[in-house]
Amino acid sequence: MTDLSNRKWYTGMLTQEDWWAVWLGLGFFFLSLLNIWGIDLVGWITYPTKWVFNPPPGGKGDISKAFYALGAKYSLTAKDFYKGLGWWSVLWTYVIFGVATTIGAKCMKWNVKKFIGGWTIIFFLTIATWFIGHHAFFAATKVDWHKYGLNFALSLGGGASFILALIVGLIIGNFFKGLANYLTEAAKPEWYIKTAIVYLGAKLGYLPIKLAGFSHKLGNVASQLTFDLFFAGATATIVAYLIFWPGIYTISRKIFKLPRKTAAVLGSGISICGVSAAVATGGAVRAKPVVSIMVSALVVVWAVIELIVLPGFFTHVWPGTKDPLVGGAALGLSVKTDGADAAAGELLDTFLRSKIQTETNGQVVWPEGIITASAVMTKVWIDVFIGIWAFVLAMIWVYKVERRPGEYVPPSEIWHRFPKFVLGYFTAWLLLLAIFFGPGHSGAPEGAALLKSIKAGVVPVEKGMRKLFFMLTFISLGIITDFKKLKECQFGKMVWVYFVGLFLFIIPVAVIVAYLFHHGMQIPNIAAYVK
Amino acid sequence: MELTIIHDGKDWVAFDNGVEFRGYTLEELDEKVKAYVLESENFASQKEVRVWMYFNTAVIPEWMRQYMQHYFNRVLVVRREH
Repeated sequence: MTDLSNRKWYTGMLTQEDWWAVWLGLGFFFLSLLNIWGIDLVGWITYPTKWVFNPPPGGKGDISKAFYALGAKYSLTAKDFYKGLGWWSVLWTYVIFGVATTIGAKCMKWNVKKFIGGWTIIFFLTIATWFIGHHAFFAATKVDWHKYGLNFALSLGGGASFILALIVGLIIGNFFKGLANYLTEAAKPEWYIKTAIVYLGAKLGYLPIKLAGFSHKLGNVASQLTFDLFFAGATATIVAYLIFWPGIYTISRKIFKLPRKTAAVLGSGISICGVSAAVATGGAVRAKPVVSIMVSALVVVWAVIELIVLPGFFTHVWPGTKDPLVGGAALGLSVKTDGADAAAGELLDTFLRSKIQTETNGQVVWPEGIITASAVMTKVWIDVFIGIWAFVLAMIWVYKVERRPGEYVPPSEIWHRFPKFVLGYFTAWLLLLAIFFGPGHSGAPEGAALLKSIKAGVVPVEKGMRKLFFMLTFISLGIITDFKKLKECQFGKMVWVYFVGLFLFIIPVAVIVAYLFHHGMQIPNIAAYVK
Repeated sequence: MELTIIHDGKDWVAFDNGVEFRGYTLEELDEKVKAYVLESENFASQKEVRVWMYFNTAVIPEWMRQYMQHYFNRVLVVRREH
């Protein structure tokens, strides 16, 4: 048996997905910053655009341009080269990320042959769903229909691709189990989403730079908004640990009469951060691993159900476009895995941006990513404290509840349970902010040249790579989600605790708290600055 | 002293080169480890021995490890009473 124990503070830096999300995320992020010195090594990343089979004369949607290298649009030094890539950018992306992820897989001692096979299938399925989802019938917003020769379209924006990727994944996971089993080696939604979240950190840091390109004032509004989200997101920590957890623990114990350890693990799984919390709490209370395994199987399925239901609910029922960041923050509080939460946030982001454009006939356009950021920010806050929470719980359990003589809980447990990808997220965000406020002169003319070169490098990362890894997450989530597991496992009471706890307690409280702390936050309107 | 600890579905198992301890509960496991330490000549000169037990997450299903790659490490402090 391979030894995967954590013995030193640096254990796992080359052997755990969490660390590899940091390396993949920051590796390409730092590569993008070479643009400051005129070296563009990231413009090859492929990106889809809306298309139709028969574009109208003078209109848009040429299928031959359905995928392009982002460098063709944003590069300052290699634009002509990247323009020549066109659809070939898909292959470039496949090879470069294939090599990077395979190095990771090799270091993590996975079956490399199986990983490459799985990666290849998942990657090209991702591209296929990304392509189909960008047919203008699915993606074009009302103000753009005429450009594609359409009288009607679903106006889902990029959300159609995400939904399609999830559906394809779920079909494989539930009806083609042999294939799903083969793909498991490369279907790693948490690895992909943690990498995407590092790129989201770059997105957050880039937001003021982007908006400063429109106007100096907008840049500062954007930076202020990211800080507001950061501080408002902190409330999530208190809610998850001090309201949700005691509530679910009490429901489990008093109403459903579950054993103490099961209630603690279930409480963390439903209340805090899903599988990671269930595993951390299982370890903290010294439960047999099977307890965490059972809870985790539940969490994964319920998180996907939330991913399917909540973005649509928050878009079309409440709060809609009136309070978009309330919906995002509520997702962060209620969807219990990083993958499903960030994916739901991204869906909500695309839905609400399309909706506001349609409702206002193009008079209001929101920059992408802010609603996603509101969903992820609350979740990151919750994630960060899981190590401390599990440490405190372990002390209570070992010293008070079970009182095992001679046992001592080492403080290094906090570090071992700390989500390392968060380091990448904050590094990317804060570094770009430092550049914006420092040599970028907060978007003033004297910093414009530097910020322009930053833009050339960071856009392929925050837009292309982030979206690609979101797509990989959606499809992988589907592949590993087998709804039959719920029925087969016969969890009985635990399923009911989850159902009652989630829909009658967690989601309503999440919505109220999100409303209290995010109500009134406005996303800047960039309609005047975009075509 | 350093041990690797796992749960085999029935018992907690702590082991290292040549030694293995089993217990249905952690208390049972700890009693066996304590007895070994107190009887072992290797630790005869030490008043206090800290036994580190590092959980090997290889026993957690692979699909779950991407979410959290640490179960627990624990330390058992064994004191020799003279």
